[in-house]
Amino acid sequence: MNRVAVTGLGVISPLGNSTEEFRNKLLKGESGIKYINIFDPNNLPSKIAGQCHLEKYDYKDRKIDFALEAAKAAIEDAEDNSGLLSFYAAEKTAFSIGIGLELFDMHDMVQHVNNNYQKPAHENRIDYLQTPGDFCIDVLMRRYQFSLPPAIHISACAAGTDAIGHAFLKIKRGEIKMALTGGTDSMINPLGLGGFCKLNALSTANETPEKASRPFDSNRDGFVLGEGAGMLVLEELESALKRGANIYAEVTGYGNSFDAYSISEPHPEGEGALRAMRKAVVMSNIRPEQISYINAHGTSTPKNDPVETLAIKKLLGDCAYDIPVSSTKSMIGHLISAAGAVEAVATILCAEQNMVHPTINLDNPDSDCDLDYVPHEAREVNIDYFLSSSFAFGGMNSSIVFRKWGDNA
Amino acid sequence: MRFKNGNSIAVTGYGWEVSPETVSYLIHGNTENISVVPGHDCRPLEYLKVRKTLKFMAKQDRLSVAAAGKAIKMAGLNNDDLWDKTGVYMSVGYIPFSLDDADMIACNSQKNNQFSMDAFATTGYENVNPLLTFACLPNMPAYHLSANFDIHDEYYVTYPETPEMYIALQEAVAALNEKRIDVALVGGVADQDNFLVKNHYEKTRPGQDLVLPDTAGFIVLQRGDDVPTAQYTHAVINEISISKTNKIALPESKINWGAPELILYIISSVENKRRVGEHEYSKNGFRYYCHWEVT
Repeated sequence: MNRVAVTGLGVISPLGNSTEEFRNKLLKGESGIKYINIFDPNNLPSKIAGQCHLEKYDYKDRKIDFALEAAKAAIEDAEDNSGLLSFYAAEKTAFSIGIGLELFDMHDMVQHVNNNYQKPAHENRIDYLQTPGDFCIDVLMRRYQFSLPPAIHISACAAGTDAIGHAFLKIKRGEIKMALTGGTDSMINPLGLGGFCKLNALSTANETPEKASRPFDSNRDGFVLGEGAGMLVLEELESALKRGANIYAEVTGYGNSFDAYSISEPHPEGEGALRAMRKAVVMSNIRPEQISYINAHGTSTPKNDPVETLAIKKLLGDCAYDIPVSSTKSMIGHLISAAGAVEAVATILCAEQNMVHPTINLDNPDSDCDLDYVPHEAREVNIDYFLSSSFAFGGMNSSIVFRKWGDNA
Repeated sequence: MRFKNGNSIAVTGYGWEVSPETVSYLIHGNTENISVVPGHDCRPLEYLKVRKTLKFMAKQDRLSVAAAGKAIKMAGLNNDDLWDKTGVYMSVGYIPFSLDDADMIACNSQKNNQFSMDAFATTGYENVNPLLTFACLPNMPAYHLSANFDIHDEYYVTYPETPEMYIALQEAVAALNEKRIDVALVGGVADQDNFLVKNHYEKTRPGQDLVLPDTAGFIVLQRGDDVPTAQYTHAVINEISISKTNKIALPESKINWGAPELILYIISSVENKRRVGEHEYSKNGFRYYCHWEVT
């Protein structure tokens, strides 16, 4: 079985569009949550989100532009004068991405229904009524020629982590040598925001947007929607070393699981989350207590945070209280299908400097959430193995373990 | 990808949930005069652990549970067998939207025949069914499979068509060969008799006038050595390959079976008692090929 290296990172996020800016703001504990200005949220209960900003958009569906920019940044980061794409020109390569819902256009929907469900004769737009989810993939595949077709992951909030995990498995078993992987999503639109509001899943702390996402805090009232994209370049380690690539980290283990419990709530004992985390740890061939840091799913919902805490305690035993755990969502919101990928980028970037970013807005910890969540301020930690988790509606759980590059060289 | 390590991959159960017309077309192959296939739905009550969960299920969920339930039953497995070391590998079709829901949202979200955010955020929002969100999430069929058949182990959930089904099948075989799992539930579902899905195909395959039936098909795969008796092996998968090609394969019929197409072909060849079966598909410069033997 092959070892797998992370050699390139790219991100588009509510905290910036370069890895440097993203890391700096994470470590400063800045919030990217603001009042929505992409459209008028009007009377919807939640009016805040973690929005991204690009100078220009070529596509109506924002996640396509996010994916293109993040992919470009990750490839250029990995290239770094070492010719990534030309090095692998004759090798098996693949693209593995977590992607969100198709974008529905409400203006077109109203027109379509009013026109008796007939498309007006003059309408030839590919994005009329809805932008197909695989259209994003097509755009990316036209830009980057991979030797295998793309793997598309639609496990909602776990999709980004699943995409990275499966790319890792493919390189590990020798099926491919290099992969571009990650996730992209943007649900900050009327149907996306309205749908989550209707489930009472979103924070309604509209007057204080920067304080609205408060994972593990007793006053949390739901997650804050975010958007963006995270992309990683993974390479078979021996090949990466041969081409002199800069290596951030090694992917050592991955696991996913079902709760098989509820359509919208996690298993109350955290069994599914525990199963996924344990699988990733076992595949890494380490003891749980060798984990130096956990990047939590940490959504700021009433149900997730205590259940995730319980699962972490079951995984780590007494060591759970010694290991820092923090939530990127406290600063950027929940990026749904992009969350796992953007949070993996966040974790790797911070680990590169032996730092863990804080969980902000943790003013009054919930009594059921009593771990070390690195409240308010970033912290220097001697990082070796670190774990990142993502848990989705429908009880789909995904976890991945990385090892900081250095001592394992 | 031929199977290098010599493990045989056995199909120990199968099930489809398609209209009678679709069964006829799949088995007999006479699609020359087809112009429409009626939509298909079901109420998979016999497979639901809790009957009231039916209200949370969209058509793709119902079809998936019914087809998977048949496959699992045929394989002689029950929920206790599936609890541990069973994986779900599925491809879900383009996201549908019901006429009733579209009608309700659109009619309550407009002023002067134009979309109005003011109307959407008040009247539209008040009237929308909160369960609509679950009908739109593409990972919901996998959830319903896990919840009703007590599957706790791994998954690979993808979208939207046949190429992705091939990759899902490859992942299932890899997981079996690596012994991460002992049972793989592999399949696809496509709710295509739907205005939104039809709109999608009109944009991406203009002029083809495709027939779009509702389809769901699942197979149960196990390592050949693990199958308890010959009774439970219906077919053996010999080859799954994906390669680059310059050939552009023209579609043989105007029926688009959707995400489960490969699985439907495997099932129909077993039902038809053909000795060997194969499926070939091309898209975007890639050739997909699967070969199996019916036992």
